[in-house]
Amino acid sequence: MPVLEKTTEIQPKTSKRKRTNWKKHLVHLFLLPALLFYVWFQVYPIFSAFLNSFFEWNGLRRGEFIGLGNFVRLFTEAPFEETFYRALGHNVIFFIGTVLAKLIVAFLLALLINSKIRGKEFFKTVLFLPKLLSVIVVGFLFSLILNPTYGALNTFLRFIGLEELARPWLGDPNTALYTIILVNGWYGLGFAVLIFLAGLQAIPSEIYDAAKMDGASGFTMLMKMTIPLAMPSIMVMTILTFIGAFETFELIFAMQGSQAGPYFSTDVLATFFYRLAFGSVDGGESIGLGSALAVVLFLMISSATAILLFFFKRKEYEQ
Amino acid sequence: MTARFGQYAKYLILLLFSFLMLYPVFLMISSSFKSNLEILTSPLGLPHSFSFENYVLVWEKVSFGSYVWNSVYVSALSVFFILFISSLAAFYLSRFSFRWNPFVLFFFMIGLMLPMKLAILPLYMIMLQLNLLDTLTSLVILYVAGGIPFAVFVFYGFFRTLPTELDQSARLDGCNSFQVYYKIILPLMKPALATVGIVHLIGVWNDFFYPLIFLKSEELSTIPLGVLTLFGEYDTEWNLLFASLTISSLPMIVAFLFASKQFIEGLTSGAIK
Amino acid sequence: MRRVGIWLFSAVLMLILSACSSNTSTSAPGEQNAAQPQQQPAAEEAKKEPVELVMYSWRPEDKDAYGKFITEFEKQHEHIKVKFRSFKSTEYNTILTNSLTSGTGVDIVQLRPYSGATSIADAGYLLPIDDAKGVKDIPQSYLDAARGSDNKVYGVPLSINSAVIFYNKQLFEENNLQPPTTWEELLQVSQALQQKGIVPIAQAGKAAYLLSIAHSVLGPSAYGGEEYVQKLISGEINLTDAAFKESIKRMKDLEPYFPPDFIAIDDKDAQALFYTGKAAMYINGSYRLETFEKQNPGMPIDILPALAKEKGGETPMINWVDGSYGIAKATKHPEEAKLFIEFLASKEFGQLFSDELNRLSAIPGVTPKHPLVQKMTQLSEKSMTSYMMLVHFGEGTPTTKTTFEDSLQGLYINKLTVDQVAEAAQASADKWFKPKK
Repeated sequence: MPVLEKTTEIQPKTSKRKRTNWKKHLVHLFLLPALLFYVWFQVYPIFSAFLNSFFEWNGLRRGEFIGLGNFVRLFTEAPFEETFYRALGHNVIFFIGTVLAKLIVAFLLALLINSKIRGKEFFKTVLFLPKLLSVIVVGFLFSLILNPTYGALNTFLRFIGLEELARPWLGDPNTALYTIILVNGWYGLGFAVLIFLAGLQAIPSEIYDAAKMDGASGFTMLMKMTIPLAMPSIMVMTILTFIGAFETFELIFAMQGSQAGPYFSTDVLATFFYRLAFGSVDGGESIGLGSALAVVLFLMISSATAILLFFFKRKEYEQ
Repeated sequence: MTARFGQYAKYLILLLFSFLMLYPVFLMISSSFKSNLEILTSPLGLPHSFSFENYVLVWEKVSFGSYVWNSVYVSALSVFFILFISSLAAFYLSRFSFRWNPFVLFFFMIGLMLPMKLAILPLYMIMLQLNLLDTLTSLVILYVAGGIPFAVFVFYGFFRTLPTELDQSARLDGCNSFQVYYKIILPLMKPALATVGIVHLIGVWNDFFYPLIFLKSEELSTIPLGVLTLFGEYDTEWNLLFASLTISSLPMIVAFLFASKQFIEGLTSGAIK
Repeated sequence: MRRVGIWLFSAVLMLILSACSSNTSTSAPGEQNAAQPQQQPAAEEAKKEPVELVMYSWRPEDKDAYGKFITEFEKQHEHIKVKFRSFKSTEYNTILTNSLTSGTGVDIVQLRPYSGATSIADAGYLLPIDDAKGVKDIPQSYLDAARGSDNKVYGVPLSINSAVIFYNKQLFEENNLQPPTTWEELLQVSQALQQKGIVPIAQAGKAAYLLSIAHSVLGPSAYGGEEYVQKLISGEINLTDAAFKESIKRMKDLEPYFPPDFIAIDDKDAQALFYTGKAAMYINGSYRLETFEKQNPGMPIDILPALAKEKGGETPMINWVDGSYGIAKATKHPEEAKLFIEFLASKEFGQLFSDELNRLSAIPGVTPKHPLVQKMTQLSEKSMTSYMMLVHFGEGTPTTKTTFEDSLQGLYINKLTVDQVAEAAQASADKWFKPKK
C-alpha cells in the first residue's frame, strides 16, 4: 500500500539529481550504523562460531583445519558424550517441566483474570513483578531461601510441623533440577499470563454468547473455542519456552555454579558449553569443542523452532 | 450459590498466586533491614526495627556505589544508541523504497532469533582484537548490536502506521530527510520509543552474562556482576547479601510501579506482534 | 543532509574511537620507554627514565600486603613503579591468556602451579629466569611448579600451601580425645565426637574441589606417602590400583561423620561449623588459618598432617606450590622486570611475605613468625609429599583432577561406585598422561 506514496517522496530529489548526486547517497547513512553494528557484532560472530568449530585450537590460537573432528569428539569421546546426552536430557526435562509448571498454570490464571472479576490490573501487575528482577538476583535470592539450614522455606516447613518435608532442595540430586524449574516458573509466570491474556482478549465475546445460546458447556467452549482461538499466543509461548529451556544458563549458574552440581544433576547444554569454552579454575577449556557444541545447540534450537512454527501454522489453517 | 462459590474460588486462587509472587520479593526487602542474626533466627516476618545499616555497609565495604554508576552508565548509553540508531534504520526502511529494503528488513528480523550466547567465543575474540576486553564500551557495543533487531522491528511497525502526508508537506517546506526524521517523526514516535526503551533498559540493567564474560576488573562491575562477587566474598553475611539484591532490584520495581502499563506493554509487545 | 552525516559519523566514531584510544594510550608510553635504554645504555640507574611494571595476581584479598611489598621494592629501585592488578581467581586464567596472546598490559605474571605454568611457558609467552639472582637457591621440587618442558625455570615460586586437618584443641581436650594419626584412630575419634553431639568433620561437598583436598589428606592412610606417588607417576601402577581404590572407599566410609547433607553445603557453612565450635575438625589448605583467626580470634586451633598408613608411620605434609611469578616475554622492560623477580626471590621478601600473610614462603631460610606456620615447616621437613591430583594430574579437558573430584561427588550421591570413580579418573588420565621415568 505505501509503495505509491513512497515513490512520490523521492521525486524532489531525483529532479535535482545532477547537482546533488553525491548527496543522494548520504541517505544510506540512515541505515549504515544499524547495519554495521548488526553485521559486525551479531551476524559475523555467529558465522565465526560455525567456522571455529572446524578447527583445532590451542588456547586462543587457531590451529589446523580438522573438519568435523570436534563434533566427532563431542559425540563419541568420554566424558563429553556422556555429559552431552545427560545435559540434553536435562534440557528436555526443563522444557517439559516448564510447560507443565508454568504454561498450564499461566493459561488457567489468564482464564481467571479474563473472566468477570475485579482487580484485573492489580493481579496483572503483581504476577508480572518478578520479571523485573535480574535472573541472577532471582537465582541468588532463591538459593538463600532454599538454604538447607537457615533458609526461609525449610524454616517455614519446620514451623508448621512439616519437618519431614524440609530437605536440601538444591543439594539433593533428586530435587535440584525440579526446584530450579519451579524457580524459573516463578520468574516467568506473569509474562506468560500476560501473553495468554492478550490472546484471550482478542477473542470477540460474541462468539461465546452465540455458543451459550446453543447450550455449550463451559468445558466444551474451552476446548472447542477458547484454546483454538488463543492458539497464536499458545504458539508464541511454547516457542519462547522451548528456546528459553535450551538456552537456560544464568539461573543454574547462579544457584549451582558452572559445575551444575551435585554431580551434574542440573547440568544443561549451556553450562556444559560454558565449561568447555571457559574452563574451570584448574583450566581444561577447549575452544574447538565449545564451538562445536555451540553449533549443535544453535542448529537444535533453530530447527526445532522451525518445526514448532510449521506445526502450529498447519494447525491454524486446519481450523 | 455455586456461581458465587466459583467466584470466591477464583479470587482465592488469584490471591494465592499473588502471594506466592510477592512473598519472595517481600522477603528480600524485609531481610535487607534485618541483622544477620535476625535473618537466621526469624527469617519469615517483618524486621523488628528498620535500620539502613546494611545498606551503608554494602556501600562502604564493596564500593556498591561504583557498581550502580557502571550500571547506569552502560544502560543509559546502550538504550540511547539503540533508540537512535534503530529509529534511523527503521525510518530508512519504511520511508524509502529501495529495492533491497525488504531483504534488509528480513535480515534484521533474523536477528530476533539468534541465540547470541552461543556466539560468545567469537564475540570474545573480536573484543580481544579491538582491545576492548574489560571495558564498559564493549558492553555498550554488544547491547546496541543485540538491541537493534527488536527495535527496528517495533519502529518499522510503528512508522507504517504513521501517515506520510506530514512528511510530504514538510518536504515541500524544504526539509531534508534528517529534518523530517528529527522534526516530524521523532516527536510522534514517543510511545514506540518508550516501549523499546523500557524493554532494553530492563534487559541491559539486569543482564549478567555479558559482564560475566567481558568484564574482569572489580571496579568495572555492573550491579549483577557485583552481586556475584559479593556472594563469593561475604556469603555468610546474609544481611549484606539481601541488601545488595534489594539495591539491584529496587530501581526497576519502583519504575514499574509508576509506569506498570508501559512496562507490561513494552515487554509483551514483541511477543504478540 | 550534511549535518546528518557528520552527526551520525561522529556518533559511530565516538564509540569506535573511545575504544581505540585506550589501546594507544597504553602502548605508546611503553614504546617510548623501551627505546630509552638504547639511547643511554651507560646511564646510572637513578638517572633512568621512570618505568612502570604491571603485575597480575589472582589474590585480590592480598592487595594491602602487596602494597607494602611494592613500597619496599620501590625504595630500592626508585625509577621503577610497580602496579598491582588483581582479578577474581575464577576469571584469572582467561584474563592472563588474553593479555599474553595480545602481548599487552602485563609484565609480571602470577602463574598457576605445575601444568598451568608449563603450558604457558611452552606456548612461548614467558622469559626463562634461571640466571636470576636467588633462583638457584630455591629447592628443585618447588621450582618444578614453574618449569617448562625444556626444563628451564620460568617463575619464582611464591608460597607453599599444605592440605591439613585443622582441629579444635578445646573440643578434643574436653572429651579426652587424642588427635588421630591413622585411619582407625580417625574413625574412633569421630565416633566419640558424634556421640557427644559434635559434628566430627566439617566437610562441605557443594564445591567438588574440597573433596579432592580432603582425599589428599585422608588418602595416604590407604596408600602411604611419596613412595606411592612416585610409583603412580612412573607408570608402575595407575589410579585403578587397589590401594588407591581403598583411599576412595575411605572417603565414602567417612560420610556418616560429615555434617548432614554435606554435599549440599558451601565451604563457608562448613567453616562456620568449625569456628563456632559445632564441629571438631575441618580439612582444607593451610591458607584457611587466616580466615579462622579473623572470624574467631581466640580459638584454640591446631593442625594435623596427613594420616599415616600404620601407627607410628610417616605422616607426610601434603604440600604444593601455590603460584609463582614469571616475566611476560612481551614486556617492554625485561631488565626492570628481572630486578623485581630477583626481589621476589630474596629472603627479605620471603620473610616479609610470610610475616604479612601468615603463609609458608618457598624461599629457603625464612622463619615463619606464626607458631602454627612454624609447625607446618617443621612437619614438612620431617616428611612431605605432593598434592598429587593438583601437581601431577592437572591436565586434560576437563582435567583429571576435575574429573576425579566430580566423580567423588557422584560417589556420595550414589551415582557412582568406588570402582567407577577410579576408572573415570584413570580414563581421563589415559588421554594425556605420560609416565615420567
